[in-house]
Amino acid sequence: MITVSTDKNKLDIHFIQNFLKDTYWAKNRTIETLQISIDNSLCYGISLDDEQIGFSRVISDLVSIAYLMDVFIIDKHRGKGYSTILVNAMMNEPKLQEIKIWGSATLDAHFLYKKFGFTSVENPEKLMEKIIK
Amino acid sequence: MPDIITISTDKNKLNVPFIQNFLKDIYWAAGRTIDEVQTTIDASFCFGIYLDNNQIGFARIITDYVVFAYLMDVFIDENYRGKGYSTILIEAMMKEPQLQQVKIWRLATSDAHFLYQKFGFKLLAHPEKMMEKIL
Repeated sequence: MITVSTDKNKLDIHFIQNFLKDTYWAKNRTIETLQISIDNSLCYGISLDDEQIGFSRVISDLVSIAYLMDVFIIDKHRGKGYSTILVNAMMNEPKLQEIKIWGSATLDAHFLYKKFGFTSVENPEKLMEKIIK
Repeated sequence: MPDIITISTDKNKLNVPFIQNFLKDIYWAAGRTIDEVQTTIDASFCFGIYLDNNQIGFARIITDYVVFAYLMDVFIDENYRGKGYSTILIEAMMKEPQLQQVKIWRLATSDAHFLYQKFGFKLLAHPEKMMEKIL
């Protein structure tokens, strides 16, 4: 059975860090850094029969903006629609129903977010960023 | 006596009616209510800028304190523009000790790119990676 929980106490931090440390977007993220990011985000654990198989988190002010971060399903459980269930849980989060601007950055999962009404950025010239190497 | 400019991250010092009065008429926050402004303040890292203890501007950041920070609602009251106060405000955000681990800073602006360029912000290197849903 697939379940999605927002209970941070149920998260398997070592499982999450073990996945993230090898991804292109979060390589070398430590347990300590991960824990701080969890403490300051709305978090979603997805489990299959009580074993965590994925994770995601949202940074939000609960009124105007919500940013999806660290969305993943581990490799061996892909292709079964679980990521759709996970993103659906975030988009339907009761605390986020007033949000006006949803943001997400992805190299290869545009198809997933398109299902939920995400599009390419209409006015990229309005966005600025500073990336610290 | 010289004007004394101070910046504070103490949410208790913020003049919420002043902030809402400005934001409610601005293109990016039109119609935002006092209750909504308070909710955003509660959920953000906030900066007030004060001239002789009167608030003249505001900014806030949504952040996880380690990976990501998004600058929001940055403004100086119209009566106090052209004096470099916005630069002082943004410098305080970028130098905030609690945000020095952050790796990705982002923001949206229609007309203030010059201000953020001073602090190393650039246009998106890979805009094709960004997705958005605007309601």
